[in-house]
Amino acid sequence: MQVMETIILGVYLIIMTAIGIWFAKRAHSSEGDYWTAGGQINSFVGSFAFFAAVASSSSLMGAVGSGVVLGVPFLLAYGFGAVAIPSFAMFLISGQIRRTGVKTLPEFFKKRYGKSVQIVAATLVVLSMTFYMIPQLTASGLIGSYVLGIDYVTAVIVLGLGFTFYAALGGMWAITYTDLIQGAVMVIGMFVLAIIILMDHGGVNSLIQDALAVDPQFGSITQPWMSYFGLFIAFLWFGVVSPSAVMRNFAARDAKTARRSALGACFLYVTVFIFGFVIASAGASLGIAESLENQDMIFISVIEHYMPAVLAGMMLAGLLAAIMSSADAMLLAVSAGIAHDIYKEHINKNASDKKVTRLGLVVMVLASIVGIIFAINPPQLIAVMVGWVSGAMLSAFGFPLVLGLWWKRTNTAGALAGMIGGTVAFVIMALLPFALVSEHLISAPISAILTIVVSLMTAPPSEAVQLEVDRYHTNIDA
Amino acid sequence: MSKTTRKRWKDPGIIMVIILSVISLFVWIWWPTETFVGGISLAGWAMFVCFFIWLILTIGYIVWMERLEKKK
Repeated sequence: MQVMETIILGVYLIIMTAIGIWFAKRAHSSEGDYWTAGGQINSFVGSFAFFAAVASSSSLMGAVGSGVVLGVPFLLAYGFGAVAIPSFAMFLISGQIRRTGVKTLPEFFKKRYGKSVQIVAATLVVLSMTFYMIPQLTASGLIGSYVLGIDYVTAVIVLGLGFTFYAALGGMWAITYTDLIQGAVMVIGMFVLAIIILMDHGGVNSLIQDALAVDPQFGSITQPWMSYFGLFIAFLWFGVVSPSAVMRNFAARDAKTARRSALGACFLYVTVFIFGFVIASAGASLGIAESLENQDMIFISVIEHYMPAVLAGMMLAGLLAAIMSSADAMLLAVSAGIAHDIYKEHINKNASDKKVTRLGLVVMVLASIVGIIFAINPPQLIAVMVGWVSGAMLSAFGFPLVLGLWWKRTNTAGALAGMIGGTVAFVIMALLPFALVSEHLISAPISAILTIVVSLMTAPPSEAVQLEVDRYHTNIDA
Repeated sequence: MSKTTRKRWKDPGIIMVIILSVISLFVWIWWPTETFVGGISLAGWAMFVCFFIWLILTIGYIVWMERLEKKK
């Protein structure tokens, strides 16, 4: 057990929970939405909020792990797509999303295509968010087992249940606010770690040479072209298809602040991937990747090797807390998807709030149990699992969403066909032996073709819906 | 309607998407895996350079949109 790290971790988590609860009360008392309350939120704060909402810390940890195991070009392909997440989403959907006035994916699908598409979308959001719990739990299990000195499986179970408890206690408000702080802690922490590493190795050049001396394949392309391209596409589209965070940002703030926040988030991504490059090089130079039971552990090993105990404790605490926030946001999305979007809205409209909340809790516990079961023996590297989630969401939602915003001829039947067909194609591709993270290179185009062809083969949407789509493109207020 | 349709293709966002796609397509077609610079494959460096290009594109889009708004 790492005593110093454990103490810092404990204190940090208590402070984060307290801040979360304090903000939760404040947010509820003003009855305002987090983002709309942000009339006062400037672009600087907005940048961190945007970044934290999209970048899960487990994926940063996974990016470093993949860079060491599969060679640094894999990490760079990750960044190639990820750095463009805020920008690509802004270019492609921000103005239109602002004019629709919706804040979540299922909400958009209901408005544009009707109930049936909303139910399918809510179900798919639930499934993808449940799967997204697995990399979060894997990452937190690794940190927990290292810091607390317990075995990995126990850490996954304890932290998984802890996440559920925290999500039930704090709710979405607490998470969104603490996410902001953790986003900042992560960026600053990675910056400090990168500086320490560079000073230790005497600059970038000698660091890379040290890494290559231990692993001559470190700078090489080790995977098929399809894997790198697949990873790029999966992350490029992540902001467009991620269920709520980005949409909320674009929908509720004034256009100028939303755009500048996206720029800030893009800048933060650039810095984080530069630091990630340095950290992965240091990880490779340690030459311990092969000896680790789980190779995603490499990030933690680098932190421990280079940072003094106090800083390492803060960094690990920040990392774990950030993962907790992301995991809790996912649990809440799953719970809201079933209890609110499906049960309350379509099955039992008269259900009391108490009943809906209770159902939400049960769903949350079930989702975390599913996540824990899979995370005990994670199927792949964290980076690959995150890539799968993004690829699956792109295959399901990407084209029904983008075509719904840009092409008024897209109709309900087309959206349903694209969504279901894309998902089924993704699952089939995932079951077949194929290059890593490239399933969606087949399933996303299938979704696009189905959306277009089925829309053209069936009756066009009503005049009112078509006029509404035209309205999304009428001015530049975005 | 035709006026609206034309506007869509002149949308700064779509133009940026096209530029971003063309640049990334260039990298994916070029894909120089066998040339190494400083021990790292040139394909890796090409992707790295694009981090900064994405940032510049984003700045360009923001300046463009704010100018359009001012004009309005």
